[in-house]
Amino acid sequence: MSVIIDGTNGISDVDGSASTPAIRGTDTNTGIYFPGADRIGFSEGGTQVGEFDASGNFQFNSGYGSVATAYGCRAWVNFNGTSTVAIRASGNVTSITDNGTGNYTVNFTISMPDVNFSIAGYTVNPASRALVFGDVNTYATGSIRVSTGYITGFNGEATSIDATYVNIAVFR
Amino acid sequence: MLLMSTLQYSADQGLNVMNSRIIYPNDEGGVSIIVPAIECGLTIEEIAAKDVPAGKPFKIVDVADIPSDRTFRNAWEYSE
Repeated sequence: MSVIIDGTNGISDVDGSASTPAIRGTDTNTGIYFPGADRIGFSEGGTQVGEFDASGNFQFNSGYGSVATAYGCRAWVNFNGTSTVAIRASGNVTSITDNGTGNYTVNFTISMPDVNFSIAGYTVNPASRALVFGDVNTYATGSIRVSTGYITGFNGEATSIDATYVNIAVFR
Repeated sequence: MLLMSTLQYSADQGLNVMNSRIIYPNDEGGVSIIVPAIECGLTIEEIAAKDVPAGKPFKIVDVADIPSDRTFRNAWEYSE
């Protein structure tokens, strides 16, 4: 098999395999290969450990037990909900909006593609309450509005309360 | 409780994002306070342009002007 190296094709015409990657160093069974049309594979020790598939999904085996698509966290934030409200750390977030007691909007730097994203949220409770829960008020592509509160009545009435810390992660 | 004090600044002076907040009147009759994320890399003015709802008046204030006692948070009002 010949390899083409020129100013038009670059380095081309060798697909390789997991056991003999097309691009490798002195370790002959570790490198990058091309398992099919529109696919880029990565191998270690002759075994596939990652791939960008034909749909652009990034797949890897990081303890999954197999090479599978990873769904990344698209935005996250950890902020103080009491006293002086402040963001402790964040990613893909330009700001949070404190709308009132226990009510916040998380504003994304890069918007979600639609409003069907999922969020995971946890709070650290203030000393006065044993259990504070989160509730999604509004999904929007550029933000999500949430509230924190606790149950006050036998019929499940809720009262808003500021949580000590609020943690939110967005997945899509 | 009224949030009266605004931070004086000029365009070339800029503002310290970490110590700034953006306030605007919300649709519930109270005041919303935008807390900037330092990591986003935007200026406080850029965050205001992006995250204040369209058509809402707003002010950029110093964080020290926001009360830390939130006992009556829902009674806070925006003052022109």
